[in-house]
Amino acid sequence: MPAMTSTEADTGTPSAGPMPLVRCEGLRKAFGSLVAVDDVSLAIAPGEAYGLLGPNGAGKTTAISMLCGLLAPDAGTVHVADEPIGVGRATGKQHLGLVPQELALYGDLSARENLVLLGRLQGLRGATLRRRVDEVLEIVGLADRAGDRLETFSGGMQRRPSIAAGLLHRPRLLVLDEPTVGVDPQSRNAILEQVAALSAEGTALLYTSHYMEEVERVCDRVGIMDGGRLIAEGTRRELVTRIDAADRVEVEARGDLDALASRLRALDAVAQVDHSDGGLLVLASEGRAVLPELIAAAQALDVALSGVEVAEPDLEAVFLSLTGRALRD
Amino acid sequence: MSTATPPDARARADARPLGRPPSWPSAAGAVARAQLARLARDRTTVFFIVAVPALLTLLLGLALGNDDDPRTTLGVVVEGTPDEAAQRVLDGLADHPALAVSEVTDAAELGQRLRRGSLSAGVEVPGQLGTRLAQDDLPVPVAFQAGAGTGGAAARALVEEVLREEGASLGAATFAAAHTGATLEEALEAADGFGARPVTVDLEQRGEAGQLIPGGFSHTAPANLVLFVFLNTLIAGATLTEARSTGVARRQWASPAAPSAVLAGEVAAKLGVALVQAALLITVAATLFDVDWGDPLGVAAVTLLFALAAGGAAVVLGSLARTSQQVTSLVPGVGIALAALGGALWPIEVVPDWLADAALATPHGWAMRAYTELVSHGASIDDLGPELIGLGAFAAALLLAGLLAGRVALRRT
Repeated sequence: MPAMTSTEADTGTPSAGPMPLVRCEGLRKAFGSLVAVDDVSLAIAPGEAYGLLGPNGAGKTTAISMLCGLLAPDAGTVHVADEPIGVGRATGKQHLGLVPQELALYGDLSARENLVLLGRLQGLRGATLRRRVDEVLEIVGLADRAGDRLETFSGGMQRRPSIAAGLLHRPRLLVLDEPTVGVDPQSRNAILEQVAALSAEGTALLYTSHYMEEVERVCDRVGIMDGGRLIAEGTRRELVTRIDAADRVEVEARGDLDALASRLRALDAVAQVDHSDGGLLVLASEGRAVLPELIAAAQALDVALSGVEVAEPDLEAVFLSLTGRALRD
Repeated sequence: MSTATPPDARARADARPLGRPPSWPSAAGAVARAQLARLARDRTTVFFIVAVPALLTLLLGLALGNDDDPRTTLGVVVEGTPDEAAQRVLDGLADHPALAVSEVTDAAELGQRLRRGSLSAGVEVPGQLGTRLAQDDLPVPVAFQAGAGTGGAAARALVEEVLREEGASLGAATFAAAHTGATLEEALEAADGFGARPVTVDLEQRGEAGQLIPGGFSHTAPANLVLFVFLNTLIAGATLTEARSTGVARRQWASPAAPSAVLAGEVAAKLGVALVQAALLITVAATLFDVDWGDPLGVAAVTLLFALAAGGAAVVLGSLARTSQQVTSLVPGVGIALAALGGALWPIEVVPDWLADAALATPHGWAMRAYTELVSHGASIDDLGPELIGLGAFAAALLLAGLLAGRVALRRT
């Protein structure tokens, strides 16, 4: 995958290497006095998994609605595979597959019937359509329930035909709008595994969520939205580095903890060492890199280590740092 | 997080997608097929499309009357108290095996019953017929009035037959009573045995009763067709609202299919529902209730145009309503009001002229006018120019409104 550089969102310069698959430039949408999306620009490379992270009301759904040609922007443009995307335009939409937040399928039709309908709307016909329906049902694990009406499916299982519908026409970009909302943890995990598998196979993803852990698990690069603006963009490591947050290394130990703390403070990667209940709390720029020296020092000082846990700063911390608010309400 | 895309996966990433903009008919056909399949599976819809209209046609038709008596119906008005001669004529009419005689209070009631079609014809018999015969006040006029249906000519022939027979006896008896001092009754008894000269009784043709007011199944069958086809098609418009609220519309609009094709598919599905119901009602009325719908081409043209108008109205309603509940709560009131205004709940012939004109502000009014011409007045498609133009205008306007409303709904999706 081409190297990505961290991009300041307010420079308005999308960064995705040569020939991005998706280019959104200067998107803006207002509903009356409410500016839902304000000058959002992003780019997604072929095969890249891009996460759009933000709290409820950040403008994620509005942004992807414009990207999918469902909503006309007040300003800005969208191109997918160099084809312009717009409301009522057919061009370019064959490159997109949408998995909406709602089920968005007819419950009184079977999985196969829903897929046949949507496949026809994607221009698939005859043997190609039949074969492709069978294939996507196999991919999402519904081959044995293809003839069952969707209203007989459990909530989590209903997401599968929804994803299948987005894959029917083998899109180059799959847009998933909060696909795990309202889903039980087991089904949520299954969905994430499926999405990760699609990404590994080379399908570009645009994944929106307000769950940090999902985005971290699935996506190569993340854009953080708040108040309609893209406030930060980059890989997880790049974003975390921006806020200069340190890894937390929690050490459970018995022995001469003062001596151990002194040894650790001498290390370049260590920013701070504090005593905690039953051990030490170490703040370091590279927590895992400190571990070998921590263990060596403990052995030399005859300190008994009973537990070591490294917690890297997460996107929640990034969001909090940038906005002063928590990611989730 | 993954940080690299394997080379073979990247090749797959560059693979061309399978999707492409579908042809307009293919997209519209796909949507129509799916919606029709859904409607066919909904037992409630099937019940209201098939069972309820047929049942109501039967009940209302029976209530409004569809007489199976083969005799020709004749209303009789007697001017004043009938004397013996007048009574003789009345008895002759009543005893005729081919006449079903009803006593009518006066000429006004006679005219009303003739317009409603409950009588084929009517006569006004002078109550002092004997006196006029004795005074030799000839010919004695017996006013005859034919109804607008086909029984008028038969009724006239039968009345003339009775008057000829009774007139012969009355003439002889009157003469004999005047010259022998016998009573008219005694003289009639004697005259019955002789073939005396007939009294001249002229039938005076009064004007036609006016336009027939359709009744019985001839009215209820088209009325129920108009009422239920529009109602059930409007309710089917809730599928559009449902598509927006469930997110199905978002998937459809996100596809390369033209929005107009998707909307056309929705209209086609509603049109299919309307035509199936219309065909069922026409068949049921023709086979079970002996309704003669008239010119098949005319019936087909009227039914198709009305169904198109109903389909367009359904798309308008489904596009503008925000929830399915709004649709189902609005439809009964709107549908019944339009049916009433258009003459589907009672014959338009019984309402004041201004209300009859207002009926033409609805597609129902034009449809009922056309069906009445076909069923009750034996019109053919060539005679339905104004009605077909009126219905066609409504169909075009409502379909265009549906397309525009659908685009408005698209922006709200």
